[in-house]
Amino acid sequence: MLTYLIRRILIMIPTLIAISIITFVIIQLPPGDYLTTMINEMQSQGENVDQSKIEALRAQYGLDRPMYEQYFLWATGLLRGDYGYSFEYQLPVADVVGDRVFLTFVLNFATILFIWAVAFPIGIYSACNQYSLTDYGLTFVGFIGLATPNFLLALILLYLANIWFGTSIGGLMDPQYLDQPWSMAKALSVLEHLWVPVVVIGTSGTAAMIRRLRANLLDELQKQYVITARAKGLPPFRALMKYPLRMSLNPFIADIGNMLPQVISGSAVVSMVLSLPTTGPMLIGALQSQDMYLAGSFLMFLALLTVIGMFVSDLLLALLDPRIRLGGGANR
Amino acid sequence: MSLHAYQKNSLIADYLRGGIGFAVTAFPVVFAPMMGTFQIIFALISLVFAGFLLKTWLRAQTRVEVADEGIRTLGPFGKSIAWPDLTAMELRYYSTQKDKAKGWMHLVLKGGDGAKITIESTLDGFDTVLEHAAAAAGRNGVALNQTTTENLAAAGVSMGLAAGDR
Repeated sequence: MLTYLIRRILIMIPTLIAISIITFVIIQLPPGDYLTTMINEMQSQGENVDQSKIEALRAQYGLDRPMYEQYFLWATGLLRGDYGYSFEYQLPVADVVGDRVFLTFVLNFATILFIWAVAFPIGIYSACNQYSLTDYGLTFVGFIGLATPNFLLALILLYLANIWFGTSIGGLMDPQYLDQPWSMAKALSVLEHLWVPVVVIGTSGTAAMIRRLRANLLDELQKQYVITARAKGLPPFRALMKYPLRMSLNPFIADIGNMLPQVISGSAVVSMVLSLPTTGPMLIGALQSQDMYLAGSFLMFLALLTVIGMFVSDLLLALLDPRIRLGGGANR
Repeated sequence: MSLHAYQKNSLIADYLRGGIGFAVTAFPVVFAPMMGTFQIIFALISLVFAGFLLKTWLRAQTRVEVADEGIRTLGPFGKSIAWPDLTAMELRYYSTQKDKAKGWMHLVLKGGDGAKITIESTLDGFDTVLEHAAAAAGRNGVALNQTTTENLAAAGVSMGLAAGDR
């Protein structure tokens, strides 16, 4: 397993370097830079632009240097905890981001837990009671969840909460806790608000996971070793838990890597609809205004989460299912 | 009786992996100014690479002796298991590729006295070791998990047949 771990880490290192280069190049691809955008905005509003001041700002922010030099400064800064300077907010990126990364992590982690907690029992039940009325009912609900866009569900929940309860469910905490230091009351307020975005973002993922777990478990349950185990009198619960369930868990684990970026990118639109203080809306704003260091830091964070997610899922899969795939070309 | 050693090419490749990984992770910790959290993460990863280098060196020093009576590793921390004492056998397959190609196998043998021998498929003559171990497991009635059974089948090794009978 150590050899596997080593090889997997060695794949991660160049992957992250490549992602950081690609991210930086993509951010730089649109013509101009943040200052160009700012000049255009000022000119459209009829304001005078002092060219010498602009050149001084360009030199101050290092925008006059070659791209590779800018990249190197940014990349080494990341390791030092210096994520660069946000032109739009006139503050260091770390100060602009504040709690957003942490809140995004909490939201997405809770969403993944929600997806598993709901999909796991329903998937098992549906597979063990195939074509029953409950199976059809759950499948129907699953398809509805899969077919409903997240932002639409968010809008419906906002409307219903307003009509039925007279409350606004937007945001991740009560307004009085915004920009306040963390306290027990603030944490409780976050927990109180968390369920709505978790349900909204998690619904589609849950539906997809139920379908996949059901299909995988059905495949396993029809295999000969399960039939033999039942014929030999193994209690049904043990005959289910011992191997078939373990084998059908593979998609759960394999999905950790895919789920993280999906959930985060999916949550950007929902975050805008529900006014959540997460990274999504700020990332979109930073990309629109070419605030390159802010956008780059967010994109690197998302990439890092994806790479770590894939790493964790691959490690768990290797632990859970170290089998040869026939035709895979085992090198003995 | 046959004596087997790990293939030189695979050992060199592992030394390179361990060396590059250690250099990439330990160098910034020592020479580059980094944030505390990153420093700890990089230091921990460099320790893993150092452990891997040590493990590779131990493999380079190890010889595996297979006989009709049992299996023995010669070198640092050498161990032996007589075939009649074999109580557990596990064969795992790892690959870092999505299609699970170009992977390697990992054989774990346990004896009644708690002795544990671990062999990787980069050992010259791994097939011979595998055949002897599978035959002994079959004779001893060792219960194999589904992963091991499938991997043995994929490797073309049947249980319970002595190596010479096949």
